Amino acid sequence: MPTFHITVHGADREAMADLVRVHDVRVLPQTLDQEAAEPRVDALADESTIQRLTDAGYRVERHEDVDEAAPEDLDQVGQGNRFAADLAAATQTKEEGQ
Amino acid sequence: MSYLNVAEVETALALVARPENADFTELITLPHRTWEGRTCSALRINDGGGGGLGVYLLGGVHAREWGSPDILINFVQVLTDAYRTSTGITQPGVTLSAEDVQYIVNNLDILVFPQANPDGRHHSMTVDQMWRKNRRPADPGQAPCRVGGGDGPGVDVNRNYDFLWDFKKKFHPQAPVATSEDPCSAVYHGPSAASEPETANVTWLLDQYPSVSDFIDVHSFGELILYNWGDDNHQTDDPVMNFHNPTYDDKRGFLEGTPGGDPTRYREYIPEEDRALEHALGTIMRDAIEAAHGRTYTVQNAVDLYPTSGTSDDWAYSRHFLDENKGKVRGFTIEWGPARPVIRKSFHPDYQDMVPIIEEVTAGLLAFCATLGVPTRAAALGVSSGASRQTDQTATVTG
Repeated sequence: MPTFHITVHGADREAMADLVRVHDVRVLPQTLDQEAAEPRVDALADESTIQRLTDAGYRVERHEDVDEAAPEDLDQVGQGNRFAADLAAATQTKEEGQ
Repeated sequence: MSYLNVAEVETALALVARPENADFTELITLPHRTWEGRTCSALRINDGGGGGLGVYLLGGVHAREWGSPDILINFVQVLTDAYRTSTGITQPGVTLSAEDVQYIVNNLDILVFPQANPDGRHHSMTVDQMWRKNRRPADPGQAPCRVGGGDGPGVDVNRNYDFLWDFKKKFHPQAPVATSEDPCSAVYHGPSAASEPETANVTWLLDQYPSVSDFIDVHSFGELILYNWGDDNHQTDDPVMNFHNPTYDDKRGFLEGTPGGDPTRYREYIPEEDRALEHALGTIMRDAIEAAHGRTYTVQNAVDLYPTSGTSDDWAYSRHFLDENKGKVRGFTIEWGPARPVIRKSFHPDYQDMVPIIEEVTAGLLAFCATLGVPTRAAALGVSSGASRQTDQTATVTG
């Protein structure tokens, strides 16, 4: 079952608190906007959790499937070891100087 | 240009401690191997013998927040290159003279532990990009966890410190604490306080260096600079109302703004001078960050609607209340980078977008260190610089 990035909109501050204390949702606290007319927070949730939240009266916006492979992200990770040769050289220079 | 992989972080740190920097750097091997058998390293930068103030920079705790180790490696490279060559630092957001750099390295003990959770980082960079926790395996007999999308067994290291760790006992039963006893949860706090080797390495390093006065844990995201406390709103008037007073064990975690008022009226105690100084130091970081590329971070108490337990910044600051032999350590968390439409890009942006973040947070950290290390800057804020604090302590001992 895939996991989705969602934005959950609730009626009030207490509804936002219930996401954690009642519904055990993986909220991303730094996205919380409790000052909005309709408070909201982003979270990660599977299909059943989204359905449960909807049934409980929350409005849920579904964004991307975070399980989907993102090979372009892995391309952002260095390959090999870009510092190994410099470290070897620095250490060798020291040894030769001794 | 790309993120440092796990091996590169360790090698880059060792390279900074190369022989030509040996007079003012020390590579420290942490004592606890990770669950997958990796050994971690930290770097100490100091050329004055320590004993004054110290700054402890931690990164790489949450696996998917790829940029934190890269920030700290950049920080140590910039600082040590400038010190070795007796030059200043000019980079977006901060300008330090050669004399400032000398003051920082001579007066401060700077400890940098850039990659606290290498197992998790490797998993995030190769298998599950949303992985957050360490790689503690499921215990025998434990129900299997769903795997993928950041789910699976493991411990959230930043819920595992010995600060109100037993949240079921320490908080009000209706408090929305962002912590869990479920081993499959992304915020699982572990089987006991400080149970994890990654946590033990962080705490060991602080215990080894009593000169440390300030602790900064680097995370993403949200463009926030957080300071103590994270378990509840703070108050500065009643020292008895505090985290280690069992009278309040079922009263923590309801916050200001609760409809009808906070039924418990609990607030966590922090002396006003500490609160003011933490806010001032956070503001100095914020200003340097903003000067770098115009991003405005928010300086605030760590607590929000979802209080926390077992976090590093509160643990660091809590120690001296429990043990008078431990020095005061102000606790901060930086949450770098903005929220982005695709959530994994919030945690690890495309590297071209990470570059200015590395620069801005480095600027903030350098400004922070300069404030504590350069006597004139420290005096302007009303704090003892590393040098003067050292003198004060010597005078106390000999007097």
